[in-house]
Amino acid sequence: MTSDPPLLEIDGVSKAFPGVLANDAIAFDLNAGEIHALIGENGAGKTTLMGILFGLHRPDAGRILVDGAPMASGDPHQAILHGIGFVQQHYSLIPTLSVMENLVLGSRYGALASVGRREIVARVEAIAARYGLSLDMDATVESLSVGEQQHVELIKSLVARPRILILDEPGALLSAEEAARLWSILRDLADSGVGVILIGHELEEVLAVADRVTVLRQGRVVATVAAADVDVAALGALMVGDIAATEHPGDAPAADPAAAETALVVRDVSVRGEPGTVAVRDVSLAVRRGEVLGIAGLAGSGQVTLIEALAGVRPIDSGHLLMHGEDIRDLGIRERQARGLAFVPADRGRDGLIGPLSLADNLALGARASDGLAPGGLLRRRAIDRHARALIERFGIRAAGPGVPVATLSGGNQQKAILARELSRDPEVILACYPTRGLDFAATKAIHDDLRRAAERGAAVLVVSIDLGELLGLAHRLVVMQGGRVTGEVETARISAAEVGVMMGGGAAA
Amino acid sequence: MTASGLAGAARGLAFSAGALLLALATAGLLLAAAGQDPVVSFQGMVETAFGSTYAIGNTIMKALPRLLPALGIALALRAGLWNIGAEGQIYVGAAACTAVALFGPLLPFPLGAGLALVAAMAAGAAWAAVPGVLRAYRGISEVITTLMLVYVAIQLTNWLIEGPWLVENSTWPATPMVPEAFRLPRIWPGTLVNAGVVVALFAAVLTGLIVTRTTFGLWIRAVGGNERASAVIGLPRRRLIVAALAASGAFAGLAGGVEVLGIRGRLLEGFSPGYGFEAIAIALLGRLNPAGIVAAALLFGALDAGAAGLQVASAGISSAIAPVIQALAVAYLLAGLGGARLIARRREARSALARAGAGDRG
Repeated sequence: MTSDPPLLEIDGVSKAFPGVLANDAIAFDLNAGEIHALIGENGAGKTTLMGILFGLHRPDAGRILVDGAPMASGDPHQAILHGIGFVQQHYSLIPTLSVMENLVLGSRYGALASVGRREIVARVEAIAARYGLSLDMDATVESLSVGEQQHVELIKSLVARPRILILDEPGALLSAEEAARLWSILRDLADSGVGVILIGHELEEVLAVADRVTVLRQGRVVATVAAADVDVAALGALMVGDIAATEHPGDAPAADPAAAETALVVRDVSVRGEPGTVAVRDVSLAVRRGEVLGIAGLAGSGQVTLIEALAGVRPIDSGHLLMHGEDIRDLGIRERQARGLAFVPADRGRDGLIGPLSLADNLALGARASDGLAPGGLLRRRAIDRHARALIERFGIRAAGPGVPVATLSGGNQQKAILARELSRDPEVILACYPTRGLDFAATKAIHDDLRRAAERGAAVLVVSIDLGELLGLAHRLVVMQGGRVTGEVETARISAAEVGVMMGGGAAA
Repeated sequence: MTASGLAGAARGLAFSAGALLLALATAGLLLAAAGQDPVVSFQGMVETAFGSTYAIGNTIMKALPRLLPALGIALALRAGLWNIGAEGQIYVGAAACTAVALFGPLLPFPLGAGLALVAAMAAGAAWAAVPGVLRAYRGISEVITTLMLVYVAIQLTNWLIEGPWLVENSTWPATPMVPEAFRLPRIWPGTLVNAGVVVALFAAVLTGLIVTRTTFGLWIRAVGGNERASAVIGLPRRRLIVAALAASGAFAGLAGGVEVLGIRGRLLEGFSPGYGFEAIAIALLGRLNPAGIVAAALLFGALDAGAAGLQVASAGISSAIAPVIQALAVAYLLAGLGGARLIARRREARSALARAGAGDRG
């Protein structure tokens, strides 16, 4: 044992799951007062590693040492007793309870077992005061913004006074301002001696916040570097390895859309914001045949409300929606589909697929009458099966067969199934919301290729994403939304990510 | 149905069979505890339910009024809707059927009977469509409204029977007998089995085809599988909810009509001792599958028919042991399914963790 062991040391940890080595002899250490970022693509092994650290998995080999002393593995209680706190990506709050009720909920368990309710309330208030988190403690959690909910989640972890704090993609859903706030809180925590592990894949963010960065790829540690010694490009190269070369923003097809025909016109459209949605005000935009138009903006700028209204999922309160000159504003979803509209919703599990139904049935649900799958309202099983097999082949969906419940497919294949269902109608206007959210590299590329091909075929494609890199690589033009309004419009060929970022944050339009 | 669908159905029915065996074993223990020889008791039961041609016919006829509502309940469940109110739909169906037979034109068989049964279906459908509309357009739980309407239906038929339709000099409140031309003929000599059985078997096949072979069936399964996504895809979610509940009610209404025209010959107060409620259990035991529902309905019919024999064979035991066995079978089934779901969810969680760790490849 050295004289000054690190706060946390992961020593040669390996973990295999059937068919894959998720963690391969991982070495990682964390010092007190340090922010150490852990980055890697989906499937690089980050979640498994944190699961091992938190006692959810028992490693096949290796040890975890806290202050140089080994910690028993495979027991979440041990992690909690050793002062490890975890702010999860998907918040573990109960929406209908108040903030304070959520915070004292954990009071009888784990690290707070011996801390009384009153003491928790005192700690909560002290933490909120110290970090300037002005939260209404009596408000129900569901009434809070995503950023505020994360503050609650953070406070919940801090109440237990952790020595090691793990945050899983904390910036993913935050506005720039909220994120900046979070980073300063984390820095403050580190200065007070807490070791912070930040899991992420936003490289600029990671470089701005972390002291050191460890990059995982396919279960192995590729490098551990000081943040000051690398730039985004170097980090990106480490993260994705060789395959990075196959996709970069320059790949967008350089068509000349100016001359092409306008397929979709949105004129002065306003959509009322219900609880949980952002209102859209007087948005106008046009998408031409063969063009991909991206809508950029921070999460919660009204872009999801807008695209759902265009798809017919929610009503348009005023303004016009023209498709090939015809106002389709008051038409139902099916009627819009019949005129050539396709929609890829933001939340594929909730809005996109019928989980218990088979892949073939899900694909059939999007078919046109002219596909002949159900003449006279009677299903032709063989035609449905053939239709499904053709789409499985064309869109590269990996499934055991057309008959498997679609819920059993992986996220990427579910998304491909939605694309297949929607694009199978050869639509003239495609509305795609967060088309690659949560997908790995290969699936993302496949989805992008599908959308590009559709545009090349002559479809007008409207893409909403909060991933600027995705939009710059896919779209010919970008519209920037902020607070429910369009605040800028640019051609992607003439702008950098940084400039768009400025616009999203409220800067002047280029 | 695909091969995997058949395998799934078989697996589902295996659960039901297991639950039934456990229920019978438990009943056997109860009988033994009450000082009876379970073997003798069950022999008495089986003898009464299946011992002769007449007995088999009797079992079938007791299965009939339970089978039709169960088919409808299963149809609604495919759309994710609980039609708890089949009992009420049976009553309004019976009332509408009686009205046509008593006051409509005197048409020859099968025209008159057919018309009366169509009226029964329409009444049941309309009765169930009300909760459907409330659910689809106002978000009111159909579990509550279908159940509440049971009592309205029963009181309404009671009023008709005791009021405008009452026949003089009857010991029990009832309407006059319907004309002979409306009665469903017996089709199996030596038994009470009437043409209603043909109607019910046709209905079983029909519901199976509706669910697996029609666009309507696919769409209600979609609504049942994910109502929200169905709306986003553009399915007429609200109309499908109303239609699914209405179709469900139609089968319960048909049961009421078949009971009037086939067995009683008139509308009697309290003629259904809860067939519509037992049908919920039958739909679940049959795992929503028409063949399974036919089997489960026959089982309930046999328990009902055999209860008397059991009572005779085992002194001091009430025929109420039959509903106990029915209830036990359903309880074991639900416990088994709940357990299986728990295990599946654990397994899923574990493999999801493994996937998350291993990466979502593809």
